[in-house]
Amino acid sequence: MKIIFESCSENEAFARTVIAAYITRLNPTLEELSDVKTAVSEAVTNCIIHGYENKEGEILMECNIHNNDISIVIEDYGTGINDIEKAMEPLYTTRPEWERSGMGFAFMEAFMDKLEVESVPGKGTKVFLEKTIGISEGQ
Amino acid sequence: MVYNQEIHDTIPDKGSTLPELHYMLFWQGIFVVPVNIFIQLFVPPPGGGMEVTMVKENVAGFHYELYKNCLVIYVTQDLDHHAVLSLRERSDRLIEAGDVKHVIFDFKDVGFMDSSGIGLLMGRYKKVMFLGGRAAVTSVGSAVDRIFKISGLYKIIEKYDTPGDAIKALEVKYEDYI
Repeated sequence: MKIIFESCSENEAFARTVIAAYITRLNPTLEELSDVKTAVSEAVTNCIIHGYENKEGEILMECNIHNNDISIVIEDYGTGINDIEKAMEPLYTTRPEWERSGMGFAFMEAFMDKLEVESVPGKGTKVFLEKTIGISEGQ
Repeated sequence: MVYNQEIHDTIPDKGSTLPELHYMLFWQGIFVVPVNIFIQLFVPPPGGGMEVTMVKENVAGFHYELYKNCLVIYVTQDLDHHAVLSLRERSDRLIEAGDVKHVIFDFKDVGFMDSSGIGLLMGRYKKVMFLGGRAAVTSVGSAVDRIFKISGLYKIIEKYDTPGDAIKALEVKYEDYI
């Protein structure tokens, strides 16, 4: 599954709905669903606020399912990240004046099984999220 | 009552006795004003309990009520970055416009929240703390509760079951400010 949408804040809910619809076939628990939606919401919000600094741009969201493994890629072609390690530090934000909590990456890491970030300043950023869904007994 | 003929002669005749009475009373030393003050102080308002000093208003995404100086904001949408954009501005305006000391966010109708909501609450907390007040959250569902726990927000913002509980608790703890 691959979709491209505009980097406006209205599409944050849209992205959450799309990913929820796509992984529904794995019968996720409410908690798993909430986890994935939150991680996607954080990544997409980062593209809008940081990648494109609230200006126009395209966001690509890709999702693949193999057995019970979900892998999601969220990509923008915006500013990019200069220091990825610093950016992923909990509570660190380049936008305190916008009341950003600096917890986006921390939440992604907490709610997904795997988080990886690739970025080239001036070219864009790619966020890789992985999670294994719905393998507990008796669902 | 002493009737001031001079004053009476200068009042234009509008066919009503009310303006005359007003002028008469003013010059007679005003006994009406103390009566009004008495009524406001000692006669309880209808509806007992909470005195709502501002009427509920419904705007897309939230509605609010003001009890004394506790502002209760009922959030009625997913609390993501998009929602926070308008909610931040509106709640700040309400806090500044009214005589607000404490702010309470009710989450009964909120099914989703991400870190943008944390940023919103942190910002409002700092704002009211500056005024000597507190922030609280109420009616928190399980999904939102997880986010609060992971973010550590409960260390600085209290959770209550209902806005009523929150208001009572804030009154008790901070009665000097209410």
